[in-house]
Amino acid sequence: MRRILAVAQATLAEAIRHRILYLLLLFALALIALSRTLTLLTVGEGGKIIKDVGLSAINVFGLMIALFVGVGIIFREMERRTVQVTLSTPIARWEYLLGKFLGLAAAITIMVAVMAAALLGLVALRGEFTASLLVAVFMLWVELIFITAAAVFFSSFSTPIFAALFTAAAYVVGHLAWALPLLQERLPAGAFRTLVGAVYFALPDLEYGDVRALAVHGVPIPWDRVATATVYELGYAALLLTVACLAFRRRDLV
Amino acid sequence: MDGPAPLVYRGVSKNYQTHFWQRPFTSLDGFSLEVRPGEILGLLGPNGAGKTTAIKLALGLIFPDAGSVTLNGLPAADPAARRATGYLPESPYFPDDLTGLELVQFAGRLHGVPERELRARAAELLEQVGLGAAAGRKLRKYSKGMVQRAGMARALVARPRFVILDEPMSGLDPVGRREFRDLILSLRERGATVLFSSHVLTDAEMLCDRVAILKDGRLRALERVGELFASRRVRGWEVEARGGGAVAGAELVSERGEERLWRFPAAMQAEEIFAAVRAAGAHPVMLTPQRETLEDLFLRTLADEPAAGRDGAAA
Repeated sequence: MRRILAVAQATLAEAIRHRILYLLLLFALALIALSRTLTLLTVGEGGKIIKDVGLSAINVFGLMIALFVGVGIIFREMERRTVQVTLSTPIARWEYLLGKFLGLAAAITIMVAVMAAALLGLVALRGEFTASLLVAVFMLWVELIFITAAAVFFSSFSTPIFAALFTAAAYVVGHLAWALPLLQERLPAGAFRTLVGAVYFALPDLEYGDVRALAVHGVPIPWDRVATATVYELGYAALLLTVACLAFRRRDLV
Repeated sequence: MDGPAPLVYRGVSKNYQTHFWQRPFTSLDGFSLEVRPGEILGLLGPNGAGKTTAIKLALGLIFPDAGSVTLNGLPAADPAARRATGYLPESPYFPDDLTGLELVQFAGRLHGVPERELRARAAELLEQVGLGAAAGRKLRKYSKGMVQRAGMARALVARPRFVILDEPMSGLDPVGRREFRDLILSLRERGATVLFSSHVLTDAEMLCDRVAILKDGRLRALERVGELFASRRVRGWEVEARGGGAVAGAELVSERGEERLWRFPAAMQAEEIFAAVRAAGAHPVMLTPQRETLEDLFLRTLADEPAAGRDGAAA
């Protein structure tokens, strides 16, 4: 455990020294602040605009942080061969990967917390704070943890550029997978229908956990949906990390 | 020194596949070697001989295609095998936003050094490698030699019984080389085993108990340096002589005023040499045998076809 924490601590320290992270955070905070100006363009919908823009900023910039910092840190470790120096100690490869993931997850958590604090503060100032907004932020965080796990997963066996592309693809596919059951319903019974069902089963469905629209419109978010989506996404992340550890176990570090 | 061998390679082969349409490149081919406890073993060979591959196999960073590698009595892929092992990579790159102290402490944590003694031990090691004053400075502000020194402190933080050093002298100034040599010798004095690869043969000559010479992924020679020195053959004679003309059968090496240095072939006897010098009207001052150096052995081994090591490979 101490070795995992040592790697996690070092990864977090490296992540929060990343300049791009502050740049992205600055953009996100600027966008959240700008959403207040956008409210001037509408009448009576100001709160919704702030919530919508704010949650989207957390989503997009959180994703970019997970992509650039997550894949970037692992890329640098491989490219500069620091991974070999670390793995020449009595640390197991799965401990190393888990430590990397936990460090990146901690960095993402801090970034989401800062962006969320700005958004919630702005909304609270207008007296429009709702619990569903907090739940939506939580679900965004869960999704980013999933994306971080995907970044670690793809980095464990792929080149950095492909790892970044695959991770971005996992996000896009995850938000489009909801259409597959609809397609399946309309297909006649047969092999293709079964195949579509199998593909849907294998792909992550991130749309179910996306409750931004509900939070923006102040609709209460069902707790069972939050619980199911959280268990599903974190479970999927755990699965990805397990496969990553297995793939990394016998990888030659040349 | 008795005890189990810290590192054993048995019939190890390793191929690298660069592209799927290309034939694999063989880096090690049936490589067998046993590092004995308490010795300093030098791993020598030209670029691409397989030295770094052998080291990476020992550390479980890559895996053999055939054969087995045992580190500290365990399969090299087992992380527990590296518990008592320190490693200094060639041209190490460490996270440059860490300080020297943080680097050594990080390695100590991975090795399981108790937190209460880690800071003091890291500071002591950095002092030992000459970085006491720079311990709190970021690595990006270190020179190449300083990074090498920090890497050495890092390698020793767990007080390892077995130390693997890949080109440890690179980037060091003459003072640093001398200090590292003393440090490596002190490791042996305290009972540690050292495996180090080097291109600098004088370092190997001064430090090693045995040298293993690799070429094209195969072990070409395994020699005891002490025995090599005791039995090394004379490859020629040099005679310093005063005055006279050209000496028959000798090659003029240098000339300074009346003093000339002549080189004779190894086959000639001392009496014949003196007779030849006197016959040329010169007065012999000093006769010195030119003995084979490790460099000669190295070059001869590389030129020869596979020669069985005098000291035997893996027993």
